[in-house]
Amino acid sequence: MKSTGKASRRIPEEKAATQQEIVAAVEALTPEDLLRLRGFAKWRVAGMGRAAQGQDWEDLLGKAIAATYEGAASHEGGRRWNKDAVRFREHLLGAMRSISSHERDHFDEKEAMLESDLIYTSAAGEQVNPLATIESPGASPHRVLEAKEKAEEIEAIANENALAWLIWDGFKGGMNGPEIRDALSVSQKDYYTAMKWLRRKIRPRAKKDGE
Amino acid sequence: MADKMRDYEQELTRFMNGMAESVAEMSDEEVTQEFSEDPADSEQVRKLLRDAIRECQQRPLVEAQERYEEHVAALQSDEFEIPGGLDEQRGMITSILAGNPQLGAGLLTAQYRNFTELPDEDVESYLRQLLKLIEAHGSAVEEKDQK
Repeated sequence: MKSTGKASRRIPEEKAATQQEIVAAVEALTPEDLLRLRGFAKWRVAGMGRAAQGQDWEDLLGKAIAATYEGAASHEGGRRWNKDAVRFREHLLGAMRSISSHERDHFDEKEAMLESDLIYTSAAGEQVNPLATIESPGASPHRVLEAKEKAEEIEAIANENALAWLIWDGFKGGMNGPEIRDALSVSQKDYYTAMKWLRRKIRPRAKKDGE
Repeated sequence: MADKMRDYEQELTRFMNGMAESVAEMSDEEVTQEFSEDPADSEQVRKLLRDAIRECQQRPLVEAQERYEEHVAALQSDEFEIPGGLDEQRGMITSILAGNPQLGAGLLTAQYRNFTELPDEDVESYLRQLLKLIEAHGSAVEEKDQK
């Protein structure tokens, strides 16, 4: 008989770290681990765009650790850490990856706006609701223009370095790091040098409320 | 025309996520080199993690406190005439319990078996609960009499 339901991806309780082990793991993180977590969180929040809704890297990292801590004591909620299979640092990176993707994928532009704030009275005396004209979250001209400007800004910077431009082009086309390295047949060293150059030139910036 | 078909937001997300992965792949030496200029030091990140855990640990207490305050607020919204002074409130409790000993026992927790040990801050709340019980008891008796 075929199984119809999806297999649960939740870590079994016996493999999951306890809350005491999570507290100890936080204390055991090295300075490099901590700086890496912060750097990673900044870029992930920047990648959330408007879906970040004013959140910054601290919010994302805070959510990752809270979900992990709560997951250790819950049968349903939170995210369990499989301490024997994954380093704590990697677990937190994975949690941030998952949380930021989930929030971005489930972001509803219409819900995020206060409709009452947007309604205005036209010159003809009629109440106009701009949200009624938005067909989908992707249809906002302001957002499209803003994203276009940002993309062009990055493109202009990447133009100064041939490999950096190819990396930008690969990422925006949906490739990941190893795929780009393979496609371009560049050495790991050259790739890392170009990435370092990009990170120095382009700083992650989370969108704040009202921007 | 081609521009209209481009999803710039998607492109930016993919790029930013790619940059995030590059940070995840960096060696410890690179992390130290690259982030050492940043004024916020690593211990601030650890503090953030500790604070988030502390918040999780305190959440049940905070929720219990909120429930308690809601309960007290609900009791205080009743229209009982409660004397202002603590001594008068204790006196009122003594006389109610003298007349209805069966009522008070249920309200005293194991911690405060003896009502005289009731902390000052709990006296008014206890008195209101007693009055509420008497009111409920009175309604039950009335119903019984009507039958």
